[in-house]
Amino acid sequence: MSRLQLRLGLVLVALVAVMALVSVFWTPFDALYNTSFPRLRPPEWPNVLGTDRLGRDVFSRLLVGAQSCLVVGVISVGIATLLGVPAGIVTAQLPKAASEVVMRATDVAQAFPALLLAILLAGVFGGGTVTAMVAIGLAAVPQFIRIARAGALSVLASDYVLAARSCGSSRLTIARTHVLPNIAPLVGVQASVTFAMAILAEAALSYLGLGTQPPTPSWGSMLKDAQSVWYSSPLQAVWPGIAIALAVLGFNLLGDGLRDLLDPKLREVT
Amino acid sequence: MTADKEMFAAVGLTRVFGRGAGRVLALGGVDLTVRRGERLGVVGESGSGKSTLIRLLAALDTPTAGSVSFEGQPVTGRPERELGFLRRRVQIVFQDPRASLDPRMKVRRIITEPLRSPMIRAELGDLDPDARVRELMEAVGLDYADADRYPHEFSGGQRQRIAIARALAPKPHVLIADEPVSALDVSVRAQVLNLLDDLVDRFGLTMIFVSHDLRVVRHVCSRAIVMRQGRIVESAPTASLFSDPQTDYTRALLAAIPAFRGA
Amino acid sequence: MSLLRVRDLTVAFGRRPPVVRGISFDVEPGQRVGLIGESGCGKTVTSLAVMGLLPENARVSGSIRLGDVEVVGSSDRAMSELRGDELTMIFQEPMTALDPTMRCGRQVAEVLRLHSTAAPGAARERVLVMLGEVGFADPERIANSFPHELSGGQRQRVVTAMALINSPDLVICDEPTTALDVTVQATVLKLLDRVLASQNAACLFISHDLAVVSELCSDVLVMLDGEIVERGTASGIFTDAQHPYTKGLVATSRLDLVEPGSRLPLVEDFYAGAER
Repeated sequence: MSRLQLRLGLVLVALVAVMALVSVFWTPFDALYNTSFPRLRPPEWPNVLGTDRLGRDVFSRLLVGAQSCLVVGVISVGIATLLGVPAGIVTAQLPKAASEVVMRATDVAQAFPALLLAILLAGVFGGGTVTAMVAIGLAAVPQFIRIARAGALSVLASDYVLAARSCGSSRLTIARTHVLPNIAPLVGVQASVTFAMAILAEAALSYLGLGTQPPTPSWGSMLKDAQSVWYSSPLQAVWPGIAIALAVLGFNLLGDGLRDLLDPKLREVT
Repeated sequence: MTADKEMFAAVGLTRVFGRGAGRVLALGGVDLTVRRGERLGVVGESGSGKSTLIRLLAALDTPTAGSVSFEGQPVTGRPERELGFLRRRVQIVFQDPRASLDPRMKVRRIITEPLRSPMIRAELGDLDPDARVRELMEAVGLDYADADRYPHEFSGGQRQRIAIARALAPKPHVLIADEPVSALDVSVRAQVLNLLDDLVDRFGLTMIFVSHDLRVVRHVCSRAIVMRQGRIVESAPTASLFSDPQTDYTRALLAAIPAFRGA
Repeated sequence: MSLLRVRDLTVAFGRRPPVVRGISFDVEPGQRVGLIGESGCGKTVTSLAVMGLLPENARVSGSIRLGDVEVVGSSDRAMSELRGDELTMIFQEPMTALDPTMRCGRQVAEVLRLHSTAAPGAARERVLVMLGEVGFADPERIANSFPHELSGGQRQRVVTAMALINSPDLVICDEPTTALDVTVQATVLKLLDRVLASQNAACLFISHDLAVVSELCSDVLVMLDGEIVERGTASGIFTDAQHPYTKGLVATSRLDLVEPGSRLPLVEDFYAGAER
């Protein structure tokens, strides 16, 4: 079952990646400015998925939209990991009182919704993809702190870390050579799940007009565009909707599959 | 020739954990000397303080009271950076070979980890890591060709050998073995015990052997201390401990050893 | 008629080669049979097979008859009627056999009530009597305690009480004293001996410690790589083993027969066998 999950997840993620990669070099038609087609057409040659309300090819826009999906995912997960993991490892080594303070602060931070943070940041710095990425990344930091800390605590209690200490290895060396490699799988699973969340968050922000700015297509903004023509052309919402759903599903399955892959290795009947 | 040179001298060693109502006296005023070349057994059940004792001796923990000195030099109260002399000369082999080796490191890196510590390098100078890995793996009976494998690819007994090889890497003077065969299969125990015996002889090591199993201690050690609830209740050459125990607790321990019937 | 009849039992997991390969043995009523061997030899899998507790992906063939019930292929529901009643098990780690959120008395009572129609008051009485039988001087206090408030040995005695309160026909013990201190081990073994005898319960005792098996069991089965390589009486096997592997196992375990400081005999000295 988990093998299937993993494979399906990988396939979906790969699909998104391929879409993004291909669109960097080529799209059937220009996705931003080519409004030469008849508007709001259903799928018909040469527009395999039809055209949008400005006469642009939907398929091309969908392909380019995969780019912002991935970029936002990578950058925001990157931010969350780079900030959250070291913080988590450090917190694992703090004395009890200090560690409690940090963890309660993370609780508070975690309660703060990503979207609200994005809106705040957009108000201060103006909307756009960058603001969205930073906001989503920051909002995901508490989860990474939590996971990294839990993993680090477990590693730091092990005999092999004790052996390293008995060689006089410094805390930093131990964190680098023992803690990081051993919590990497845990962090990887979290990253996968956070990626899925980031895609959704970006779509939501774009829908609100705070994410990727027109004319650059993003699946979220395509949904927003589709809203105004919902009654006459419902198909407009279907394509970006499916894309978002499949991408999110893909990353979630990947995360779940990875998580299951890690666990059974540790349990065997002898 | 200081044949009786003291490797370890511990005076009034005490370790208390926790505070207030939840205080635990893990070790209460223990005095101990370990002489060079000795094979000292530390016998005790859970809660006896034997693990606490060896952590204090290896400076992996600080005592609440009392002091430890190693080869005449004080250890207690000194900052970590001044303990290079101890770190290089005292090494530990832990009980569970599944937990004492980093699962994400290749065996080669595990064995040479002590050699990468700046403190130990300052004491030892730079040794050729590859040559050292070869030497050590051969010494513990492992195939050098396996040096780039991961711990999970080895059996329990082989992993314990890797742990021993790691302990020997910085050319220590003292080997502290904390229940080194308790987690191993019966058939593998003898192999590891024979190996330890051989290595201790070959390299002229002093060994502190912690075990709850008196049968093993009798075989391996020349002298043994019996610990109970944080104190040493008896200390004697192993032969006399078995033939003429002085305390009730030691007698109870001996009586509890399961015996082969009909033999 | 044997209490437990195992014939040609084979167990495999997924697509891997079988872990237990066509073994057959009997346990008579009241008989104590020791099952010895190293890790991976299949002894734990065998015991789980008898209990009907193998995981989903296990493929079992052969026959296990307990009384007149065939365990292989029987439903979990049918097995759960037997488990705790006629057939019980004592595991190595008492902490996992005991629910940390439930008081000990209640856990013992639960086993009792699952298989009998005792009213709560009467059940409590029997629980206290049983706790007394397993050597507790203050059964009331123990019954009211949570597992974490007790020592390892005490917990194992509670587990023993749970295993024996319904007067089972067969008790399977899987390394029940391995995790215990040596003095505690001696106490628990003595108590097991006494209670098993008083109930005339049969016992399948798994251990890697040959001396422990020798003290408790009358007969022994030696397993290697999924097969039984030797069977005999406890005294016979430990003094005069026939199979080279058994000879090796006994030789390597008998530290009491070796000159301190000299080289210990290895199993390999007697039996080349499969590389481990």
